[in-house]
Amino acid sequence: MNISSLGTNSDESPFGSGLWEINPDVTQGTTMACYTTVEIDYALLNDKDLGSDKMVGLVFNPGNSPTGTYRWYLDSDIDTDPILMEKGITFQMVEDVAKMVYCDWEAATGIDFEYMGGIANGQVASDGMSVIQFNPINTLGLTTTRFSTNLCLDDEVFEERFTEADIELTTNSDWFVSLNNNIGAGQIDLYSVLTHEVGHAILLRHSMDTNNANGTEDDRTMFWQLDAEQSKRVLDNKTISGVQLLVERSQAAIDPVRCFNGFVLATNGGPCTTPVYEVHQSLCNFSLKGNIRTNKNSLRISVEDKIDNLKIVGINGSVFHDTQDLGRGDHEIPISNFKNGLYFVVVSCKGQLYTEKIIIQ
Amino acid sequence: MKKQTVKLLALILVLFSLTQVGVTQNFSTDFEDHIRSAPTIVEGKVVSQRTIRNEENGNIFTLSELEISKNLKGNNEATITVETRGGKFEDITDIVSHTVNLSVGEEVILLLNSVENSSYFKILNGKFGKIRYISGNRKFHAIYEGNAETFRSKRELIERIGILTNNSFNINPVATETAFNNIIEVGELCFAIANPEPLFQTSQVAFDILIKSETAGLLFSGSEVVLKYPTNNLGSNIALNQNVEVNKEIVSENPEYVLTVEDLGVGQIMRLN
Repeated sequence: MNISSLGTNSDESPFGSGLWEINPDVTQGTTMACYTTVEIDYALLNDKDLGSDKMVGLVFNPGNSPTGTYRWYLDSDIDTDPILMEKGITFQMVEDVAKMVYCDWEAATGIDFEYMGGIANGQVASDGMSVIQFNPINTLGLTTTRFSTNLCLDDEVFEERFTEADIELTTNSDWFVSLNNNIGAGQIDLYSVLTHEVGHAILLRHSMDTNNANGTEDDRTMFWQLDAEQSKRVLDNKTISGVQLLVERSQAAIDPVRCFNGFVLATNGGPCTTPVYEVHQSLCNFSLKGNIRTNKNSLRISVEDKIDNLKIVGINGSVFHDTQDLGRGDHEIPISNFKNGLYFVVVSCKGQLYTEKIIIQ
Repeated sequence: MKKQTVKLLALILVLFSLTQVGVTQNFSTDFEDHIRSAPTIVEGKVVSQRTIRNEENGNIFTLSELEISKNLKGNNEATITVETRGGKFEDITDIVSHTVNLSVGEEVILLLNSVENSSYFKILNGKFGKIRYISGNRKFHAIYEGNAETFRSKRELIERIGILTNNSFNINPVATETAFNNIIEVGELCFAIANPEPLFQTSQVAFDILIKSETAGLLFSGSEVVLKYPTNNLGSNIALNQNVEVNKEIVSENPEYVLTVEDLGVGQIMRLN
């Protein structure tokens, strides 16, 4: 039996997700006429070089992460890199985007990410720390995922364990570094690239079933290419389901008789510890910024001009907050008693209405 | 378009096989730019690999020994070493996304640059530095990993690189040609088994192996046809035991074309060259 990718970037042995062809009878590369295709939703890392199809587990050594959170760092040299300085990219800008990206993954998969702040000297492959860094590499981004091998040959699911994943982003790109989505001509959206690379950092492989050549492009998070001006910030459900399976199996293997006895993995650690959105509205000269934490649930609105009215409305039309005449400055709107879910912020200014969707989680 | 055909007559009890290839693709600007700008381009086969670890930063590298079959740009030794990121070193494995992977036995065309202060080479620009040969795919025989462009044959790919590098890698056209009608689908080069005829008096089966190209003027200089047969009534090693007879019927006038038969493996495979 031969299984081959219908896409062209099939250098992801043994499998990447996407559309694959199963051919029932192959003799030395000779293909018979009957075949069928199958759709593979996602692809997780394993160690093909060991001749094993077993998975790589996502658990942590309590010596590195006592509570089992996925700890990540950001290279503090960003603010002193001359190339990035010339482009106007700051540590703060990258941090805001990175926090949001990890927040998205956390909300979708349950993995409890923990931002550990800036770290000098960037990544070192053997230090056990997962670091985001800028380098003059020839691709937009790449992730070096490291895992320990030959751990538990008797386990039916796992044989390797994740130890760290360092993400490199190129200094050579015309990056768009913002939480808003107004990507300029020719710019590469850092949010989208980082979303993809964090996928690698939690052991996802590429999807590859379609390509630019035939006029369509795989819309999954782990498709291997991103075009200029393309926004790909929303995680797809197939990819999410793959990570959720990995998490479930990894946790199940934290068992006295299983592979990861003594290791830890924290999930469902609560709401994201990062802003969940930031919206700038130039028409009325105001910005919204969510700052949702377990101990600080608030929505901040920064107003340049006067706003006549601001309401927060539920999806059934119920009004949860109503404020008149917001003047210039920052205003904190408490939302700690709001239930998780979808809401609309409705702003009235200069005779016009502006509506922004927010999710409280 | 005129078709070039080669017809072989084979006598054997059971033979079957069909290969289809196809799909044409325009050459992209990306491909051309990379071919033109690459300092070194080689075609070769990965014959061995080993890994090293940078003691300073802990990064793991794989060193692949590449046996060169053709220097497409630049002149290199018969074997070179290509350095790529990632690999397995002792009990640690690094997987590096968006970079090129090589494996032992793989046949590739690589766009290379020298590693500073080293005799090693590195692959240019990640996936933009690798063209991989494919076997068993119905649609293409080579892929440029940079932009996922495909090539329906090695000939098409090599000739294109020759044009871009001001080298002549073209295969000469045939002096004579013969066309025939067949149900074979379009393709750079297609094989089909046709016209089976049982010969009851001698307990044999005669059939034709048809080879066709859609490319006008293409010279057929040689190919492999691997065939699988049942051993319960044929026995093994049918070439050695002279249980197969192969004849040219209509062939090109290329004097380099030689018909040979040999056993492969444990006697269930035969190859025509």
